[in-house]
Amino acid sequence: MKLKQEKVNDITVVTLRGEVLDASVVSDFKSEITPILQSGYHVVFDMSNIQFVDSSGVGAILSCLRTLNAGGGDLKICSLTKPVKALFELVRMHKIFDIFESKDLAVGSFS
Amino acid sequence: MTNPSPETLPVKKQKVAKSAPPPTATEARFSRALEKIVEPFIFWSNASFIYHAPAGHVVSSFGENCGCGRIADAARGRFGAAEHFTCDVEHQGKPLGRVVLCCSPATPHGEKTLQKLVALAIGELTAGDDETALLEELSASWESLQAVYDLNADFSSTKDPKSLLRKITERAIAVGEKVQSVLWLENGDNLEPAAANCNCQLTPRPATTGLTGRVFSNGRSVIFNNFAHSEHDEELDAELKNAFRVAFVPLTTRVATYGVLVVWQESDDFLFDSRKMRLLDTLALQAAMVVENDRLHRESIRNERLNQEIEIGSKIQQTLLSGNPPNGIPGIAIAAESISSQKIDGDFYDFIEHGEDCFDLIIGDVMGKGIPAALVGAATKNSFLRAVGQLQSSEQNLRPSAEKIVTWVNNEVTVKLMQFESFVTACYARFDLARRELTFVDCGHTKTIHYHFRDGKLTFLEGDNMPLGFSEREIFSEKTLSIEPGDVFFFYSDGVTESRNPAGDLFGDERLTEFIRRHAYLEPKLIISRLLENLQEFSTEKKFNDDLTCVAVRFGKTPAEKQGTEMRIHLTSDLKELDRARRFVREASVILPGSPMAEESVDQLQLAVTEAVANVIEHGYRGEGGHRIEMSAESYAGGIRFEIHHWGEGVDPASVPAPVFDDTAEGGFGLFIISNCVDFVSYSTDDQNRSTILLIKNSN
Repeated sequence: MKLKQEKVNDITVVTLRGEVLDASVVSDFKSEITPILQSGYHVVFDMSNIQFVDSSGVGAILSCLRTLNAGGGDLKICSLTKPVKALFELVRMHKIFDIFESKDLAVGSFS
Repeated sequence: MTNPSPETLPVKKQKVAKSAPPPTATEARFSRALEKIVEPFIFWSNASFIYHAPAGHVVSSFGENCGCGRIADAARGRFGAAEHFTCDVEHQGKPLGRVVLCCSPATPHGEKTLQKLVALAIGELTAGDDETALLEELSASWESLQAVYDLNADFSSTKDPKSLLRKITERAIAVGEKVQSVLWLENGDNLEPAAANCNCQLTPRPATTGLTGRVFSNGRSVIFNNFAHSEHDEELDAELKNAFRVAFVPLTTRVATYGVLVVWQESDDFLFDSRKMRLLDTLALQAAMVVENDRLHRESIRNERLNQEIEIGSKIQQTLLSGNPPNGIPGIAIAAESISSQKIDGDFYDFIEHGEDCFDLIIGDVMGKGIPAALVGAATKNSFLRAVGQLQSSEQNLRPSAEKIVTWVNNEVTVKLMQFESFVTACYARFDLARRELTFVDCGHTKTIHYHFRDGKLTFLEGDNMPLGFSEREIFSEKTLSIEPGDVFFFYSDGVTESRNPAGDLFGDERLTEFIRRHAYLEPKLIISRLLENLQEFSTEKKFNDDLTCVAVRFGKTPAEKQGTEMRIHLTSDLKELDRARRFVREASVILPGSPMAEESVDQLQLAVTEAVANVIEHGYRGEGGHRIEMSAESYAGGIRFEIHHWGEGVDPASVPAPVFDDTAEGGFGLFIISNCVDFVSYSTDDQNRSTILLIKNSN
C-alpha cells in the first residue's frame, strides 16, 4: 500500500493509493499507517483512489479511528468511490465516520 | 367255702360299667402311664391296682382283682385278708382321681410303694405333657410359617392387595371356631375396614377412636382374654359389643404403621395365648407388607405414567401437530421448529401449498396443557386442512380467502372447544409471491414480527379477531400488506416469550424483537437455531419448560438450480489470490447472464466473493497456504450463481457472532455483507468433506 502524506493547516491528510484495501493488503497498511497516526492528531483519509474495500479494510480504518480518538484526535474520510461508499453504508460506517465529498470539506470541518 | 388259689383265679380286668362316662384325655394318659409303671410290680407280687376317676367311677384296673371295687372302705376282699392302700392323684394342681392298691397284708411298705408308683406315673404323664407341648409349639411355628409361605406365594402372583388382605382375615378367623376379624387401614384421618369376616356393619371411623385407635397410635398389640370385664367404652369399637376375647394387632413394618388387625370371639372358645399371638403377629406383618408394597407400586406406576404421557405427547407433537415447510417454492426460505417440553401443550402449525407461488401458514396454540390440549390442537389443525378442501369445492374457487377459511374452522370447532372449556389462538397467513403480498387473519395470537429489509425496521402483524372457540358465528377479517425482497416474518408461540430465567424474569417481547432485529440477515434456519440457543442461555436450562414453536419466512428471490454454461477457476489458499477471484467474478458477470449485470450488482458480487474466499483462506484453511479452492460460475434464470468449493473446515454461520455496527468491532461483518450483497447464500458440506458456499445474484 502506498501512502502519500501531507499537512494542510494542522491536519494530516493521507492519500491511500493502490486501488484496493482488502484482506491481502491490510497488514501492510496497518504497519505503514501506524507511525503516521502516532505523530498525527487530526487526520483525513483521502480514499479517491480506492476502488475496492472489504470487511478487513473497514476494520483497519476503524482501528485507525480508535487510535486517534484515544489520543484526543479524530479521523475523517473523504472522496469515497461508489462501491466503497455502498459498502460503508451497508455496514453503517456512515454513522460512525464523518464522510465528505472532497478533501477541502474534510479538512475544513476540523475547525 | 373253698378259697380258690390265686393261680387258678382267672385274671381279668374289671369291665368298666357301661354307664360310666369315657375318660378324659388326661385320665386316659394317666391310666396308660400307670399301667406301664405297675406292670412289673403286678408280675412279682400279688397286687392289683384300681384307678378311679375324680367322679368316682372306675377308669381302669390292673392285676388280679380282690373284687373290692370300692375306694371308700379298706374292706376285706374275696382273697381273704387284703390290704388296701389308696393314693390321691393330682396333676397340674387339679385332682385326677385315686389309685387303690390291693395286696396281701404281707406286702412291705404298701402305702409308700403306692405313692411312689403313682408319683412315677405322674412323672410319665408330665414328661408326656412336655412332649406334647413341644409338638404344639412346633406345629404353631409351622402354622405361622405356612401362613407366611402361602401369602408369599400370593404376593408373587399378581393378586390385588384387597384380595390378599381378605385372605389374611380369613386365616385370622381360622385360629378357632366362631372367630371374627376386621382389618382396619389408615386412610387420611380415618381407619377404614379394608377386609372383614364379621357379622356386623362396619363404617370408617376417625383413627383416634376407641381401643382400635389407641392400638393404631401406640403400635403395640393388646390382648383381652376377658373383654367384657375390661374397662372400655362400649360405644366405640361397636362391633366388639359382644366380644368375649379380643386381640388387637397393629400392622407395622420398619417404615410405618398402616392399620390394625382385630380378631375376637364372642364365646369362650380359646385363649389368645402366645401361640395364637405368634400367628396373628405374622398375619399382621404380612398385611402391613401388602399395604406397603401396594403403595410403593402405585407410586412407581404414577411415575411411569407421567413418563409415558410425556412420550405420547412428544409423539403427538411430532406426527400430528407439526408440518413440513413447502420446499418447491422459489423465492422463499422457510424454517420451522417445534419443540415439545415437559408439559405438552397444544402448539400446532402447518403449511398448505397453492401452486408454485402461493402458500398458507397456519400456526396456533390451544389453551390448556397435556394430551387433551395436544389432541384439540391436532383436531383444529385438521379442521383447517379440511376447510380449504370444503371451500374449494363449495365455492368452485381454488383459493378460498383466508378469512373465509378461518370463519369456517371457527364455526366447526367452537362447540367442541366450549365442551373442552378451551379456546385456540391462531394466525392464518397467506403468502402470495406473485403479487408480493401477505394476507393474514390474526386471532388473538402472538404478534408476528415483520422485519423490513429496506430499512431494518420492525413492525408487527396484529389483527383484532377473537380467538377461535368464543362464538360460533364470529366473522373473521383479514389484512393485507406488501412483501419486499429480503423481508423476514417471524411467527412464534408464547412458549418463546414466556421462557423464564432463574430470577423469574420473562424473556419477553422486547428481547425477542431485539433478537430478530439483529439476526434477520441470517437464513431462517439459523435465525431459529440461534434463538433457541439464546433461550437456553437465558433460562440456563437445556430443556424448555413450555412447548416452543417458531416459523421464520424470508422472502428471497431465487431457487438454486443449475442451468447453462459454466466457468471455472482454481485458486490457492493465499490472500493474494483475492484479486484473481474478483476478476473472475467480473468476467463471469459480463459473459454469463443474458443481459449484462448492472455495475452495482457486479460490485456487490465482487465484495461477496472476496469475503467468502477470505473466510475460506483464514478460517477454512486457517491461513495455511497451498490449499485448493475451486470456484465455478454459471448463469441461471437471468442471474448468476457462484459456487466456491474448499476442503478445509466448513464455515458454520451459526457459530459466528452477530456483527455490531459501532466503532468497537474490527470485523465480523463478513457473513452479514455476503448475505446482503447477494440474493441467496447457502453453506453446505458433502460427505466427501467438500464444503460449498453457494451465492446467487439476480440481475434485476
